[in-house]
Amino acid sequence: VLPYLLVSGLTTGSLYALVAMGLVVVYKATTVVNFAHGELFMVGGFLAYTFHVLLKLGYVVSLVLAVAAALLLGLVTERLAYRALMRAPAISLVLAAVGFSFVLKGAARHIWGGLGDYIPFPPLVATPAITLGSIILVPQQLVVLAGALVCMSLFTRFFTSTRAGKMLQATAENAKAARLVGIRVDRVYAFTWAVGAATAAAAATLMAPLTFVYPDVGSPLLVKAFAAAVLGGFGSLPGAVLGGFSIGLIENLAGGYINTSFTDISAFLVIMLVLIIRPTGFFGPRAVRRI
Amino acid sequence: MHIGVQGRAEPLDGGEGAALGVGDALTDRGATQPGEHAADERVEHGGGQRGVKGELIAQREGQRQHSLAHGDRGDDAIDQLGGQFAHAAASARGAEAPAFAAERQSAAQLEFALQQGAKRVAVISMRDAWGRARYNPLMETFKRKGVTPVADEEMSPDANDATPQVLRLRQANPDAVLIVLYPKAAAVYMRDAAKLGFKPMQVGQTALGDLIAFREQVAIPNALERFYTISHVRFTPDDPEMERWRGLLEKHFPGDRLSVYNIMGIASATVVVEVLTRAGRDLTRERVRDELNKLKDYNTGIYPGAISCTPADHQCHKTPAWMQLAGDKVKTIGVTPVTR
Repeated sequence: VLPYLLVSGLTTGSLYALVAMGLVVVYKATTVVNFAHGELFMVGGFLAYTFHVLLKLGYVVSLVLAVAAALLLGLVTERLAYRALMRAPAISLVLAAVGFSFVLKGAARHIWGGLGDYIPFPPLVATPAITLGSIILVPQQLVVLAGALVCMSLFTRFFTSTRAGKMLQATAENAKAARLVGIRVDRVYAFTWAVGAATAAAAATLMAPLTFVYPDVGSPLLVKAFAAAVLGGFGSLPGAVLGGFSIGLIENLAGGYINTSFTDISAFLVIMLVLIIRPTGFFGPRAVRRI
Repeated sequence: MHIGVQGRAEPLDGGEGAALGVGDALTDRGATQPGEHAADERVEHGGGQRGVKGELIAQREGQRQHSLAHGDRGDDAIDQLGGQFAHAAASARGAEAPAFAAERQSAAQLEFALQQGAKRVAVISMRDAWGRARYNPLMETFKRKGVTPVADEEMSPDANDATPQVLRLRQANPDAVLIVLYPKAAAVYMRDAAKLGFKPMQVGQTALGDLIAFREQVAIPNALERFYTISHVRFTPDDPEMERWRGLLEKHFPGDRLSVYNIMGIASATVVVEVLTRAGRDLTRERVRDELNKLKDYNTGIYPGAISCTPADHQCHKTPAWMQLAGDKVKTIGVTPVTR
């Protein structure tokens, strides 16, 4: 039982981690929690479905196109919805994000409505399960897990090793200082929203065979991803990854060993406990109070 | 509540075979009986009787009318029938409104499993309002029958993984699992069950009535081999008898596809049209209610059984059909008259 629970917990956890990463990317640069991120995930899934299933393009091509389209969507929405509010109180941006999430959901129903309640996305591999002794390994799960890990490492590399990633981090660290050293902060913000949308699309394309594609897929995922980001220490990419995997594992182990009624609530119980002991999460900066 | 699995009934097409009982349908004995042909024929040829009284997979006269102990629910005929409309509309998301209908479905699920010889029965359910409306009556039916579920697992409607549920059910070694889940959760469950080699009889309900869509969601070949589900209607969207409705839907809603839920709505609408026609041009609330109360053995051509109402019984549709995938086709394998 344990190996199954661990593998499925890691797979589900990788989904939470990928979505949490997108949240953290935007938060790091703008200090705004993007409550439209779940819906960006949903739109990413529909874009991938359009390219892969409706237009019959290859999976990798569909992934690239979905990510590119989401990047564009992020740039456009930043220009239309967020840029004017960047100097407004954070609550204005949060409300704009919530409003944008409803716009995306409505648009998805308008564009893709009528295709089915829960649209299946073809599995990436149709190979039957592999039995190793008493363990059954499901190739689909392994591919999704591997894909998620590749995505995470690419994003981590982007932030740590590329010029754009470093500019983004610098802006997140101190926007005023970044501006003083010649970084075009407005562009960085635009790029950040776009990268956030791109991570959502990448996650959706990878995970669509597991989650299905439907207009409401984003909201419950956002809650889990938010919890993962909080657990990891909001603002920390490794924290988001660790938080996501932790939630996936806790859910599965609690469901398997305690009771399936605990599957959904167990992670939140653990998070409450962790935050009582360490309010800043796994990797959040320690809060220092000057007396 | 009494649930009778129909063993013999009037032939649908005036043919020679007795209508198929579910209890027979899935057994070797049943498989060799002429009734099975009758069931198949119903699917393939039965729709030409739209609007004709009493020529369905109808119950026997003695089984038709059972008054409800729900006097407080019987005051407003339109409200009661409206449950069917609510169902048709809400079921676009796999939901269903009328609690009593849910109660009957739950009882039918258990009855069906037991009649197929299941000794060890397990349950997997959602526990939101929709799920509770089915889960609670199901547990009451278990009690009434003196059966204890060997496992009783919960699943969230938004879950993307059912590994813990499948592993716990597998440990209980059930002969049958009764599924009280929305299509998404049910598809995730069936997918993970297939992946983990867990293959008991699986019994669904009307939220899983669109078997073609459900098969696409599960997306694993043969995963639905032992899956049976209830349908309010006896036709599948690809049935030639639905050509007229398919054409109308595609004309007025381009890009949409006819689903089993549309067919449920069409069946309900057919009943309303009949009642309104009978009520005549002097249309009042009372006349509509009275005409509905007088509706007896009305054959919509779409519901598996005749529609009969009384002043005390406005749950006029009492005959869910059982459906199964046979290759690429959905097959109606029998009906379960459910009465109080």
